This record gives sequence, C-alpha cells and structure tokens, in this order.
Amino acid sequence: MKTVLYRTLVTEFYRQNTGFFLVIVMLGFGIIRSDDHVAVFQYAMTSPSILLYYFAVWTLYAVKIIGFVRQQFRHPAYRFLHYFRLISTPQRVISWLTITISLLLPILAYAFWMSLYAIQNQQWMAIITLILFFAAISLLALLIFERTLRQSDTEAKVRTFAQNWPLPYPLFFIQFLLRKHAILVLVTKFFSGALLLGVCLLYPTDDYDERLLAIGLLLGSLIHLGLTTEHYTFEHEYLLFVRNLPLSFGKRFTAHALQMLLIFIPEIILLFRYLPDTVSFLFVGKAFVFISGIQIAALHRVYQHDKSLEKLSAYGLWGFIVGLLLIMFHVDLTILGGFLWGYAAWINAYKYYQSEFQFD
Amino acid sequence: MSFFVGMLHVKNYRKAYHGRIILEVPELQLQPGIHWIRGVNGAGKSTFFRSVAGMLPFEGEIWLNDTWEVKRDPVAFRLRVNYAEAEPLYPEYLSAFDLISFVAKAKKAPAGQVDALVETLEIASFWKQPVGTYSSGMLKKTSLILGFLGNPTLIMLDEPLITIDDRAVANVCQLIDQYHQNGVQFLLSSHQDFRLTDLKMDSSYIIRNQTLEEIHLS
Repeated sequence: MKTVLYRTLVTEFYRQNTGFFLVIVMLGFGIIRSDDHVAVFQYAMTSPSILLYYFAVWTLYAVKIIGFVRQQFRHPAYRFLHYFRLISTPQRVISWLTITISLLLPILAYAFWMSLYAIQNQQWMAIITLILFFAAISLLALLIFERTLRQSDTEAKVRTFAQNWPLPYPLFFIQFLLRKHAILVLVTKFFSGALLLGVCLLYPTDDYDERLLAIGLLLGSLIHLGLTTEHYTFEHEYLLFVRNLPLSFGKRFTAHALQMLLIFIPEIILLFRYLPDTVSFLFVGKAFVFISGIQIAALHRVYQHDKSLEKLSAYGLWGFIVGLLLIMFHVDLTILGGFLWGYAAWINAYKYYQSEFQFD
Repeated sequence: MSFFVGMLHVKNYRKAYHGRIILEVPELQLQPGIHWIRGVNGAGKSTFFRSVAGMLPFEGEIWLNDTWEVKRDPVAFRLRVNYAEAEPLYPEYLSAFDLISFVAKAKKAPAGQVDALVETLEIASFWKQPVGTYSSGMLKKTSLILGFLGNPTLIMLDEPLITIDDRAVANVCQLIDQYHQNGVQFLLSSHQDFRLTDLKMDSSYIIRNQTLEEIHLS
C-alpha cells in the first residue's frame, strides 16, 4: 500500500509537474546567479520581514502539493487510495510525513542550502524560524491529508445559476479546471501574472523594448503547460464521446479558440492595466495571439503524438530556448503566434481523430 | 429518422496496443438488422464499437452503406453512427441535461426527440442534477439517451441492459424495436441473453482469438 501511495502521490506529482519545475529552475537559476541567491537569502536571514517573502512563496508551493494530494484522492481512478485508512494511525502518520517531506523536497533543499550559510554565520534564530515554518506546514499538510482520507466522496454541487440553460461545450473544460484544479489554476495564474507584472513594471526603468514584454509572455505561457496536460487528459478521460459527434473542423477549432480566450483573460486584463505608456494597446492583441498560440500548439502537439504528454516539459525547455532566440532576433509576436495557431489548425483538421490516450 | 437501410462494411481492420494485437477483422459485411456481439471480458467488444464510432484510431477501413468511411467522411459518418458506452464516465459537475443538450445539437436531433427519450427512460426527475449524484442506473440511462439522439443509421449499444431496472430494460427493448422499424440498424453487446427479451436478433457474432466470427443463433 505504501509503495502504491508513494507512486500515486509523489512520483505522479513530480511527473505531472516536470514542466513547472523546469520553468522554475530556468527562471530561478538561469536568470539569477547562485551568488545572487546567496546574497539575497543571507540578507533575508538577518531581516525577518524579508524572510516572510520566502515563506509566502513556499506556502504557495505547499498549497500546490496539498491540492494535488486532495485531487488524487477525489479522482475516480484513485478511489482505492481510501483503503489507506485501514492502516494503523501511527503507521499512517509516518507514511503521511514521508510523503509530505518527499513532496516538499525542492523547497526543503533550498532551505537546507540557506541553513548552511546561517550555520556559518551563527544565525541561530533564522535556523529555528526555518525549522518552525517547515514543522508547521508539514503538520498542516498532514492534518489536511488525514481529513481528506476521512471524508467520503463529496457530492458534486448543484449548479445554482442558469439551471435551465445547458452549459456550453467550451465551458466544460473551464468548469473542470475551476472545480477540480483550482489550486493548479491559482498557482499558474499567480506565477504567470507575477511575471507579466514584473516585466511591465521593469520596462519603464531602462531603455527596454517590446522584447522584454515578449520574454515575460513566453515564460508566462510556458507555465501554463500544466493546464495543457489537464486539458488533454480531461478530453480523453471524460469527453471521449465527443469523438463520436459530427463536429466539423470549424466547430472543434472554434471551441478550442474560445477556451484559450477564457484561459488567458486574466493575463489580457493585467496587460491592459499595466501596459507601459510607450507601448501601443495593439500589443495586447499580439500578446494574446502569441500566448494562446503556445498553449493551443502544445495541446495539438499531444494530439499529433500522444506520448508527447510525457515530454511536454522538454518541449517547454526547447520552446523557451527557440522562442527566446526568435524574440531576440525581433521576430514579430503576431508571426510567431500565427505560426503556432496554424500548426494547431493543421493538426486539428487532419490528425485530431488519430489521437488516443494510451497508458504505458 | 433515416428510411434507407444501413450496412456496415469493415475492411482490413486491425487494432493493436503497444504492438499487441487486440482485434483483427480482415473482412466483415453486416446486413441491415439487429446484431448481437458477444465475447468474454476484455475480448475487444468495446474497442471494436469505439473504433466503429470513430472514437479510436485503427488500421483499415469502416464503411457505412458503402458511402461514408469513418476516416474519409468524419462528419457525415458520425452523424449517422451513434454509440452508447457500457460504463460511461462523464464530468461529475455536468448534468444529463448539459450532456444531452450538447449531443442533441451536434447530432441534429429533431424537435421533440429529447423530451420523448427523457420521458421513455424516465430521467426527468434527476436530469438537471449533476452526474456526480447519479447511481449507475441513472448514468446508464443518460448514456443510452445519448445513443438514440439524432437521425442515426446505426446505433451501437454496449451492454445496454446492465444496471438498469426491469421497467427500463423493457423500455430500452421497445425503443430498439421502434427505431429498427424506422430503418435503424443495431449492434448490441451483452453478456445477458437477448433471446430472453422480446428483441429478435438477426445474427450473432463472437469475438475470440482476436477476431470476429459469426455464430448461429440457436
């Protein structure tokens, strides 16, 4: 049981979030040097108020792992996980702690790195604060996991609005995201929004051009690859019957385009609000074509080659490198976005029905 | 409803997973009628049905009325071939109303058809509730209604009689008979013996040794 639990919760978490970690590593260690990390966290450990920023980001990560575990327990395919309750309480607590520590490992490793410097500098208070923080989030995670285990399946909530109007098909996936993956959406949108806001605020501080904004958009869109995985899995698990429907290319592709528009509404609003004064509002349109193009092309890449689902993170890495080069060489975002939308349209028109979700 | 008879023609069909052949049908011509497909669990009945429904990719050709091929005419073929899953899995927050409305529109269901099916299979009392609250029988009825929507030439029902009560079984058999009289061809799979119902089977097939063979109805 423990092995099954570990595979379902820990291995699966890292498998599904490879792209997320790659982007974080790229951002955190590709752009910022390790010396800068050391300088910032050494300063943070002398000032509790700065250390709070670290705790805020780590708490978001903890929310992400808790959300993942809860989601796995609610998934119809993983109902057997509830048998974990049959194991004795002490053994269960040990298992939960092992799982929690395994899931928190990336931030624990970072905190350990910070602690090594704190020991050198004899910053004992900082070390105690770090230990207390991790003890608190581990305990919180353990309590929530235990509560999830004790809860039987919660009934789906009845829609209280527009009951007499059927939910439009493009909203099936959006509802799925909001109801089943609210934390994934929250974390994705937080990082994507923070990136966009960051580049928008950085833009007027120096002699930057639109390429800075484009790089922010590129990274912001790549962070959404986790949603692409959910989109593909949702369609193949829950909406297989749609493949028996006589939907023309136009109808299928319009539904996908509407879903992209809905997914990127927060980024579009944020861009309108914080777009630097010297940048034309036309840029917002270009930005939408580009970020949604990355998303729709990634989804259709998986339709074309279903086993690519496992490689989305690698595509993210290559997508970042190639995208960065093209942006640095002043290739217009409309051209890049247009190419990505064109690729997706071609797959949708000619390869859509060849897609089949096969587990290895 | 279509008034011309349907005929299914399968040529060089082959379906494999990870290089392992699940089902191979070199040639199959199904005449109009109600056909019973049998086979042990995992024999490949649902895989065959899903392939015919255009839900799974496969090697070979599947023709309807020797006019529409599933890969060549994806929209026209799917407009005429319906499928109801044996164990349907739908997003739990959607209602049967959401699903039926969407499929009815896509399959161009005639006016009044949805209401008639909802009444026949007696789902009016719960069809606006989320699927997550349904019993397996309620879920099965939803899936069956989806299978009857539109103007199909061929309807495939995978295990249509399981999990539903006796009255619903009688209603489903009556629906099959009624649609068949209007020119709709049926492929049914079941572990239960259709000879115990009022339905008259025209032929029976069994999936064994990774292929489909006709067997005599005794």
